[in-house]
Amino acid sequence: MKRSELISSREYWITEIQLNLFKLIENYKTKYHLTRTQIAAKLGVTKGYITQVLNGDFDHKISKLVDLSLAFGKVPMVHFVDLDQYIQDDANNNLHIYKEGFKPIQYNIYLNTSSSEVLKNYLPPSDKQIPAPPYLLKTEVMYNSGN
Amino acid sequence: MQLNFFMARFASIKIEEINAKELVEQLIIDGLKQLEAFEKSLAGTSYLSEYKVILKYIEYLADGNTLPKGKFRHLKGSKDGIAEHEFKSKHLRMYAIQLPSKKIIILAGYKKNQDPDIVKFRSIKAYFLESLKNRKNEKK
Repeated sequence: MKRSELISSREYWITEIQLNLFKLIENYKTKYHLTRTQIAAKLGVTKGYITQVLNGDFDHKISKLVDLSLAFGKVPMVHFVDLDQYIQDDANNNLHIYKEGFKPIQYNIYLNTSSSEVLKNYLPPSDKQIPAPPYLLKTEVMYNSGN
Repeated sequence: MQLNFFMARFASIKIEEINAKELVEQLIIDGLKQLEAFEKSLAGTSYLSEYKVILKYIEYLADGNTLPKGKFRHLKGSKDGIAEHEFKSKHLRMYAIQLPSKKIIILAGYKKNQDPDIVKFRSIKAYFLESLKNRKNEKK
C-alpha cells in the first residue's frame, strides 16, 4: 500500500478523529483527577458511553461530538483540505501546518547583488548577512508548529 | 509454524505508509518484508480495513501520543530488556519492539493466533537482536 492510499482511506481519518477525541477526554480526566463515572455525571451520559470514547471507539452523531467538545471546554474546528494538497504536504514533511498551535512566520527573500544568490532571510537584514543594497524580491509566509 | 530462524538473514526498512516523528520500520526476513507480506495476504478481505486502522495507531503512538488501552499494550515478560508492543484491532494484531531511536514491526497476525504468534514474535525478536549484535561485532 502506498502512503497516499492510506491517507485517502476513510479508516485513517475516522481513527484520527477517534484518537483525538480520546486524547481530549483522557487529558481532561488526568488534569482534574476524574474517574469515568465522574466524567459521565458531568456530561449527563452513561459511564459506558465514556468508556466507549476512551476505548477509541467513538462513532456517534456530529451533535454528540460537538456536545463532548464543548463540555470539555473546546470547540471542534472542522476545516477541509484538498486531498492532493495534503498528500503533497505529507510527502514534503509539511504536515505540521495542519497541527494545533502552528504559527505563520513571514519572511523576506532578497537578492544578493554580489553573487546573484537568492537569500531567504527570516530576520531583519543585517550588513553581515546581506550586502547592501539587497533587493527585496518578495515576501512569503511559512508555518511552523509553534513548538 | 517456523520457530527456528537461526539461519535467517534479517534487515529492516522504513514503513512507507507511516509518517511520524519517530522512525517506524518493518522487519525483513530472508528478503521478505513481513508487514508487506501480511498486507498482501489480506487482499480482498474485510481485514484490510482493520490493517489500515492499526497503521494509524502505530503512527499516532510514534508521534508521541498515547493510545487507548484496548488498542495497544506493552507485553509483559520481555527477558532481554527490549520493550515489546502489541497493537490491536478487533481481529488483527501487530507485534513490535522499541529500540532507542525507532520501533520495528516484527510480526503481524490474527487475534485468534495471539498466543502462538507471541511465541513466534519473541523467537524472531531474539534471533534478530542476535543478528544486530553479530553485525556490530563484525564491524569492530
